[in-house]
Amino acid sequence: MPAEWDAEQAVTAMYATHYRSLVRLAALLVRDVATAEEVVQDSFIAMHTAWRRIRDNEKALSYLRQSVVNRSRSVLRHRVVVDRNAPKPAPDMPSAEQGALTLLERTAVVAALRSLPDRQREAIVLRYYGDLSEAQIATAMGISRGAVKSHTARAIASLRTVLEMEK
Amino acid sequence: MTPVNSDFDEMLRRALHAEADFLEPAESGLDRIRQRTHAPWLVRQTSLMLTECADLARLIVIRVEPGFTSARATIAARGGMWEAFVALLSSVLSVLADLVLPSRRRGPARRGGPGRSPHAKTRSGSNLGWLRPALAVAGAVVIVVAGVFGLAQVRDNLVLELFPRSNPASSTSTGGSSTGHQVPTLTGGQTPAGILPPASGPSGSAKPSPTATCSSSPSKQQATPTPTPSTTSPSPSPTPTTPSPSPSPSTPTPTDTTGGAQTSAYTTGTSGIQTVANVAYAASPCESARPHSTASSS
Repeated sequence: MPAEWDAEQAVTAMYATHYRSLVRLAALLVRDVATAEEVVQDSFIAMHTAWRRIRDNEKALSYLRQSVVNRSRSVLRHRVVVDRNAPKPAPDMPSAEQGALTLLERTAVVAALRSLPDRQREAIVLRYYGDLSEAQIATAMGISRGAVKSHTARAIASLRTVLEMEK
Repeated sequence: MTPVNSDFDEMLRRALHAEADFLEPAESGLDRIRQRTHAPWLVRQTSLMLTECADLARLIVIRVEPGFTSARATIAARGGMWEAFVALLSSVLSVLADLVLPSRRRGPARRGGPGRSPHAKTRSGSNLGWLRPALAVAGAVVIVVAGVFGLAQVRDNLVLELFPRSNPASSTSTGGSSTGHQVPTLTGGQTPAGILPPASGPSGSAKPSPTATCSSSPSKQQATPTPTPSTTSPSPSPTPTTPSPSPSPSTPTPTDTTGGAQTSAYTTGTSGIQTVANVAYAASPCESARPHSTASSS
């Protein structure tokens, strides 16, 4: 991405390249596609505003990831208040085209993933879905690499325990 | 399924990709982004502020709803006028809730599909992170300004209440007030007539009455305020000099027995003040207690 691009061109280029993956990443964090889209769109607008400071492809992607993670946290915090009084939602129905084994495995893993604390879920999603390194995860989450290791190890231990019990 | 190490990692990776990879965002994402980035700054901020206010109202409604429901049930159990009032209030609140909780942020084309949750309607586009600090700062400024002005008002009120007729121009050491409301003090200043200087001794009583009060204490070394009958010349506060000749206890002594007024008049060499002082002493019932220095000097 050339440095002389303006914010409009940068947003367009980043949208074409990363918008979909960022929406999916956010959907894993907030468990809702529409909300994930808004989170990512807000992040793109923030990037558009801050483009004078960014002016770099890698920095822009890192900025977008961090913005998505932070805004997803805000959504989840806001949702906690709403969930206290809202009626329980109906469980999501798995799509019919999935294979039976994959479906079971996926449902179990996703259910176990949803039972994790927010930070641990973020670390797992960024690592296993985003395929990010520890340093990139640390940057995106705004924590240290040691904290990333700690969150990841605890999350994996919890997932193991839950999946073992379900087996 | 007993995942170990890489198998477990691979299983996690596969499950997450299977969960998310089939999600397709709406096609209008870039248009929405451009629409929002091209909007004028004021319109954008206003829209965001309205969104934040709607979210805040929604949260308030959510938090208040249980209490309101129980209160409504309690009041409805009483029946009569209360029931009608509660019904009216409920209808009003429902209308307000419909206004506050619009599902205006998402089009119908974006709804549905697997993985959707009812949180889609409760998501807030929270872009006004600066709003709360700004409100906090504004509130702090308002409190500080109100405190400053309030303290100034209280101070002014106290001053006016304690010194209702005080005039900074008349509080000079010349004692040139002709109203007769100023009472000289030891320090050369004057206190208003409504405020008596503190009694400095057992004989330091003064009454702001037209009739002069005579003190029987000859050994008084401090000047006490003189309630001057005439309104012409409030004597400036002198420094105490030699005490006046001791009269008999039955003979009252003027309150200002020190002859300070005369001393002050002589030091300034103004015969007018001396004359006024003599007239004042002549009119005083304590005429016999005229200071010795006055007679000798005249």
